[in-house]
Amino acid sequence: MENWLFLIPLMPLLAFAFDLLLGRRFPGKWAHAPAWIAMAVAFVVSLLAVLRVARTGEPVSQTLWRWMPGADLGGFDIPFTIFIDQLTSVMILIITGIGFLIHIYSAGYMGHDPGYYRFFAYLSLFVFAMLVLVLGDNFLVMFFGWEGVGLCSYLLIGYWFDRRSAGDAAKKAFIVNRVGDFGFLIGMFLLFTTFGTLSFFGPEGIFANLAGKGEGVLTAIGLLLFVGAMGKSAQGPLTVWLPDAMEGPTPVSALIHAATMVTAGVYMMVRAHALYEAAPVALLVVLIVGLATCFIAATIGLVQNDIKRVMAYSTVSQLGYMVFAVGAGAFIPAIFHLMTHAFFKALLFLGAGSVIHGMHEEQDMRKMGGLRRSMPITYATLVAGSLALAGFPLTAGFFSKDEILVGTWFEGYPLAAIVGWIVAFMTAFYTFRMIFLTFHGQPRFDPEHVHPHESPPVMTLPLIALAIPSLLLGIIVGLPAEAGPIHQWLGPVFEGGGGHADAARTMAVAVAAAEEAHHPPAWLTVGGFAASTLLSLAGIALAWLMYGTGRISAQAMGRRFAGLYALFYNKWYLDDIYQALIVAPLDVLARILWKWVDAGFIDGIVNGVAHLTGGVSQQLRKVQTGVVSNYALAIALGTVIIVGVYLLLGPQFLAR
Amino acid sequence: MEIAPPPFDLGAIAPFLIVAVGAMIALLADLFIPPARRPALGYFALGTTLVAIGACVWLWGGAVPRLAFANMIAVDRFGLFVTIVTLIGAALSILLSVDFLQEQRLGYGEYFPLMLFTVSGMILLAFANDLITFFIALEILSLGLYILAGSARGRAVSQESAIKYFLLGSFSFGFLVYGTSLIYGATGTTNFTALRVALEGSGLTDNPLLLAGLALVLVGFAFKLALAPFHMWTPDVYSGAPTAVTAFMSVGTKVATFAALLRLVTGALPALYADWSNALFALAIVTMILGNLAAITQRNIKRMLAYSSIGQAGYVLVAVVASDTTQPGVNDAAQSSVLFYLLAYTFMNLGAFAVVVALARPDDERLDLDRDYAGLARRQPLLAAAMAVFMLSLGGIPLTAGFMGKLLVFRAAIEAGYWPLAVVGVLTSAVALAFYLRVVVRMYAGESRHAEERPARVPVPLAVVLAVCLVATIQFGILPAIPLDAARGALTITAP
Repeated sequence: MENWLFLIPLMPLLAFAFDLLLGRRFPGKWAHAPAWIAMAVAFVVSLLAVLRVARTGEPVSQTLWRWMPGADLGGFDIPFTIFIDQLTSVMILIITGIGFLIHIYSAGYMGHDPGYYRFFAYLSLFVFAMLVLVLGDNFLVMFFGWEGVGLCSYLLIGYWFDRRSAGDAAKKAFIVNRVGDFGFLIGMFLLFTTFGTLSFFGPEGIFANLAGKGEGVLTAIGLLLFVGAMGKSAQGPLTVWLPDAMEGPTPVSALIHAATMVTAGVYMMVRAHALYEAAPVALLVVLIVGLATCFIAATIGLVQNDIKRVMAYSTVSQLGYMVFAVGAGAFIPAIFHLMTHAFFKALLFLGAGSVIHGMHEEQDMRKMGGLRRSMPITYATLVAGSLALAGFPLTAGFFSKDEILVGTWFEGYPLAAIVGWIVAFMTAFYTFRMIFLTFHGQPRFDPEHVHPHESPPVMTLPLIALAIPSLLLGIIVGLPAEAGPIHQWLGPVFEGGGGHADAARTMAVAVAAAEEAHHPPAWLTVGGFAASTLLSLAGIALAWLMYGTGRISAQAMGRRFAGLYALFYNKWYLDDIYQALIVAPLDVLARILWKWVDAGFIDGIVNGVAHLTGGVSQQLRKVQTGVVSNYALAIALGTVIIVGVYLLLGPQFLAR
Repeated sequence: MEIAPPPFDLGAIAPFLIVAVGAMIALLADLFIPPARRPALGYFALGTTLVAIGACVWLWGGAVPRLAFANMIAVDRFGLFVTIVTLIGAALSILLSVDFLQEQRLGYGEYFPLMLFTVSGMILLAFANDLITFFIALEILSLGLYILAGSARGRAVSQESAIKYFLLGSFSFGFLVYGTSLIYGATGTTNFTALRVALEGSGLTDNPLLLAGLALVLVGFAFKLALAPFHMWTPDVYSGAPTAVTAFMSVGTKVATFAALLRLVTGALPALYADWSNALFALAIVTMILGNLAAITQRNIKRMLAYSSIGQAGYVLVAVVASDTTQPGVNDAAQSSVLFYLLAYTFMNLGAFAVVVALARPDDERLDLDRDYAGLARRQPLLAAAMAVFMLSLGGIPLTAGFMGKLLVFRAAIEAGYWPLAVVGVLTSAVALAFYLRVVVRMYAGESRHAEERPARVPVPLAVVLAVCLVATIQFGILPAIPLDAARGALTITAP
């Protein structure tokens, strides 16, 4: 029992309360100070907890309290327990570590904003909610965090609420996430009725009691929870909110819509891996949805001109990698990629923010070019992040993406792996298209009016701090492939049925043998390396030819593949399809409901009830005359009624 | 015939004695203290209540339950729990009053002694094991409250409030005394323990005299608890009395009187369960509906809180109805939910009144919802946040004490088979949100009328009250186990 773990979520919560209540009165612009301190402390405490896990190999936990113990509500007794195992360790280090860097960066980026304190309050609240999401040891606490991050996402996307587009994007994100959360909620109800508990672990927990439950109900639970994951991680039909979410300030995009919140769905499914393994149909759906999202988002990313939108579609696509890895049962590679992606995508977003900052809020890459001379640090770090995203050999992204593809192949889905490699090629291409358009070539802006400048150190230092792991993390934790430190670290989570001192770990010998056999053959590993390397280089080379040297005309390519170009440029007409299939019919339906059912019938009832309650209330006022004798009369009448009823009707006048 | 006087078991009534003696000392001391130093009396009164709480804790661990003074007093954990809740309410009310009295120029010396006398009546009420003790206790507490309600001598509304309270109180206590005499006529005793023995297995349960007596006694209770239709004095008295007094009587009186009601009906009259539960059933429904509906149109925060307290009493009554001693499990759940609700109500209601007190100015009490509460969040964010929490709790939003209270009460009602009570309770809770949330909306969305004015500093004692109420309101919602366990441990109503 580690009784100091509560500090991890508490610190950002305190920072939130402090900034929200007192931030406005803070002398000067110091609202970031409590947030910085809180994040630093939370990171250090997280690190201590992880070291404890590393030393003992066992999870650490602290039960803060139980909600409604002994209230005798049919087992609905929820322990608020902080639970840190190897999987949670990865998450909290990402959240507090990258969160800390982004808090630092934000002080520079948001320095001129009048709502400075509000921004830091929301950002700290987000970190709190995200930590709750990953630290909880049952679905209810997870859901609490799940809703909390959704709320913060809404608040921060719509942070510049005086822009109409920001308000719309915030609403879109919120509504689409409601759909997902609804699925998650129903899944949770089904879990509770099936298992009688929402706890993950322990002999009474869900993962220890999967045996004997029908595959049908487990599949239903898995799919419903996946609906929630689709909402948070912008997968499948619920992707549409994430690109629009780029209306929020760039640090928000980096922290929430790249590094942490959008990976919540992946985390949830990996956490519930035992459940998913018992529901293969659900896993297959996860695989297909993830793969399709991965592919479609990459194609859209090929043709975007807004620098943040390129990143947004790239994020959706990379999340697709993680999701289909989960679907294939390659859980460790999924978390590995989650980790590396958090670093390099946060870096890319922050770098993009630095570019936008230096270009006076310009986001269109067609109006940039040649920026590498005026922004050397941003350029260097962005290239590092791009290399990682493009899967350039020996960068972090190379190892993690390769593991996903090899793992997927090995788990029995070679076709999925091949699609994954095609996407890897596209990823390399659009990433370096962005680099070449932005930093190389001749300036395409008006140098008379726009003076690009390097950002201050408060912004560039976090970039440098993120660039290092983006380049080196893979070598450190990913080698040797499929058996690197990341596998040894996360391995205990996946041992046995539910992991963690689980009784299901019956035949240790058999498991060990299975573990031995559970490594991809050498030819697959080497082949994967070769394919990843070649495709990455090919993508970068093509981008160089088209946008670096101009040897291949981008316009000519666009004309030759006009149909595809239009398809990609219009985002596969997803928004239009939704408009036609969902929004417009709903609109018509809503109009019908509004005009006829609502205005006529429901309003009649509601207004009637309101009028009735208001009317009754008004009448009651009239009774309240203020004259004592009237009051005494009421008392006397009441007495007569009670006594009279007793004497005339006898006791049992109201049957129970 | 020689009549042996009953032994003097002063230890058993230690909390009562401490408070009563403290009141007398304070009354005497007032003669020698210059008016400017009167807050010292307040702190003395506060100390008295804290010592009394200590005595309760001491008794809690000691030889309870025990009967004293010829069975007229029953000292048990139930009574002690209620006494502690009452004393907490009193202590917070005293803290609330100290600066309020000075600022509103109400620093009359008898204020704190009267408050202590009233508290002593409440304590006696919680331990009363005889209709006579019960009546004496009720009179002690009421007499003090009548004067306190009129303590703003310069204000007509305060005078009106006191007179109305006194007239109607005397009127309904007439019923109470008459009912007591009828019960004595039917059974030959007024003692709770003896009543229970006399009624068990006797043919008396259909006796019209007894039933009429019960009905009249219930009328007395209904008046004091402000149950509809005996509630009409409440808005006038609550809004006319100085706010600190209103805060005090809205919690202390209700808590002690509910305890006495529960002790009477489950300790003395379980044989008449069908009779009293039916009457209270009807009263609960009428009270929940009337109290919450009438609150909707109120624009004056004190009147709104008055109606709100009527509705809250209706919810507690639901759990009283469910206290069927023939089903021990159900009875335990019902009674513990009564205790939990009273505790939660004490904190959230006092907290709300503390905010009202904090806003008051010497020349203007600042009671208008539209005028004075609009835009409060911009001027005084902490105060507004606290008020929002109290409103949400009174409205029964999860993670607050009020939610847990309602949950437990409705669950007890359903277990006991009174699902109509639960249905009406939930529906009226929904209606109640209309006026609770209106306060929140006004505070956060309205335009302030006092924007140019500097917000007043909240004095330290008041800040302490707010902090205590806030912490308790949130803590009991998140961590209900501690008070709930205490309430469970306090379910021994002594009637051996």
